[in-house]
Amino acid sequence: MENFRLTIKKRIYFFILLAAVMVAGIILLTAFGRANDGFNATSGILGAVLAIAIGNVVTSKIALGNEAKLKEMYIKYTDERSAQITKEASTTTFRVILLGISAATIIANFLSETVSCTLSVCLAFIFMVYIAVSSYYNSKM
Amino acid sequence: MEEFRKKLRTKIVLYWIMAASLLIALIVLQVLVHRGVLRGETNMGFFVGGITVLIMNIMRMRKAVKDDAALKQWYVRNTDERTIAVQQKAGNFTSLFTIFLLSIAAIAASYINETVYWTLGAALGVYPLVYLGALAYYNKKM
Repeated sequence: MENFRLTIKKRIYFFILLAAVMVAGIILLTAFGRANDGFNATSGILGAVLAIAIGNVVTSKIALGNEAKLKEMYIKYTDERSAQITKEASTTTFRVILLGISAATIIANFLSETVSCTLSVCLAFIFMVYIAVSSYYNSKM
Repeated sequence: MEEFRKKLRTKIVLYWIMAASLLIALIVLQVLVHRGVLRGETNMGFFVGGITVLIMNIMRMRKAVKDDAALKQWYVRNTDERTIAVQQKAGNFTSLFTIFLLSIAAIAASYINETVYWTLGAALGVYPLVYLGALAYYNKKM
């Protein structure tokens, strides 16, 4: 359990660092990039990452201060069933997204060439990453 | 092994239906484009690619159904724990990496082209929704 406590502490440091980077980014963007077209999009994504980082810091701190919560978190992180569920969900999401993007590309081709091209590039990219990662794990495992 | 052969036969029928559906969709879309009902071009590459992959799979499965050695090989490949683990790990990593890169691409595109930005944003929005749905489903099922 002591090892897990250490891991959680490291996790807190990581998320604090991430939050600090996001805050710096938002401040810089507000100070210098307000006039840019992408201000809303960039600040929105940075804000979302900041919220995730803060949420993780808070839950980890609560777990460190409470033995029962820490045990609960430990079980959640080491539970084989949870790990299997996450893996299965990721794989299914990957397949659904591939099918969805393929269908969207075909439909978008009749509506907007830009959208169709963007989705095609996304699809090709996802395939390339998947093939590269598969061959990596094939040689590693 | 007989049950697996049965499953493979069902899969072959399913693949035939999918290939036929793709072919019908391609013909219908082509007709609609030629008559001027739809504007733009039918994405021939997608349809032809999809049909080719399906037919190649059908041929391989038919061979496996007829030949016992090929069936055994097919069975081992499909039930091999290592192969399944590799597929799951690769799917898991690709999902996370795609979300990360879609975010970066959306930020970059927001400065360049609004349509591309909204397309990437929509893809990024759909991803967590599908993931949460799959998570809920497997939580119930497993």
